[in-house]
Amino acid sequence: MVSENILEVLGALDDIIRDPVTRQRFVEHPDITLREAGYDSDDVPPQVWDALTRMTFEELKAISDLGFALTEAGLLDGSLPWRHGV
Amino acid sequence: MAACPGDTASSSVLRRKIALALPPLAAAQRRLDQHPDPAAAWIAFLRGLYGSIRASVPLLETARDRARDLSPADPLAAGLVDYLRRHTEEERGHDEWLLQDLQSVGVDSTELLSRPPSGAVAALIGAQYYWVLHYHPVCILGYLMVIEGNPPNRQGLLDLQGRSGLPASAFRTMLEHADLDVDHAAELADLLDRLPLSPNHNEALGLSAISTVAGLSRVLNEVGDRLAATDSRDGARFSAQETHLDAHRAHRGGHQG
Repeated sequence: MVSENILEVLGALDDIIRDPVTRQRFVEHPDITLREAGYDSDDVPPQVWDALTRMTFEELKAISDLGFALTEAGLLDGSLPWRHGV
Repeated sequence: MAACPGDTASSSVLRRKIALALPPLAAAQRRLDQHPDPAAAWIAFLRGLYGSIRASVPLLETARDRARDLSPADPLAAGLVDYLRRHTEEERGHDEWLLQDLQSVGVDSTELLSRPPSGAVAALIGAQYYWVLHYHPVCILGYLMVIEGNPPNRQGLLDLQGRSGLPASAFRTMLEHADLDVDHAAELADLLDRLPLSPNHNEALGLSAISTVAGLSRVLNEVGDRLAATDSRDGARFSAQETHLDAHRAHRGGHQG
């Protein structure tokens, strides 16, 4: 069961990376940017935080452009179904 | 196969980036998985897949040639040549397998080949040509990590075959990939971890991989949309027939009354 707090913090990260100004700030100071949004990096699933903080501005934009909330990624445990693999 | 946070190997970092991008692709897959007619969905999926699989070898050859051209002055490109040469040969003929799979369930290959490939397929593959030719051939590894890093699930394929009632021949290529891609993904991860990648190269790999997930999602959503359109058309035709039948019955009822 994913806690309400995780959903909220992932929602906040969604907002951060959608906006180019906060996205750039996140690239430079991820912890501070998230704290300004009212959350702590400890609230983010480690695999999500690790990936996000290694991404560049353009990579984060590409993730945001997918149009799917990070909340969805946070709910995935890495064992995605791939019945229709290619 | 899952990448652990803190693992800084290039392949692990790339996998974690890909995992963040996967939800739309998983949703597109689920949509096909849940289609009420699994046989129709599977054949439509294979038709869509053929558009990209037919481009695999030419794309790999382009990347291999570009890497070879750059290699005298570029150690990263030089590190790709053998892998791309080998992998091109490993993938050769798989488009023909898929065509045979489709033929085995009654798909007319002449009709399939004569149809213009969709814009989604062109965008998926075209992006790779751009990056390979105008930036660096290493970008193709981002594409391959998505394609081969998440191999089809063998048991899932067998379950789907059972549900669909289709012959095993319709699943041959995908079942082969369920086995082959596990080794291919391990080989690719090993290569990524040995290559002299700069931060720019890692970013390019990430962009290529995320673009691939986005492109595959669009391809699968197109397949889903086409199925929905067909369902709707067939439903409308069925409804029209029913309405006509009801009117006919009412007319006859009126006469009989």
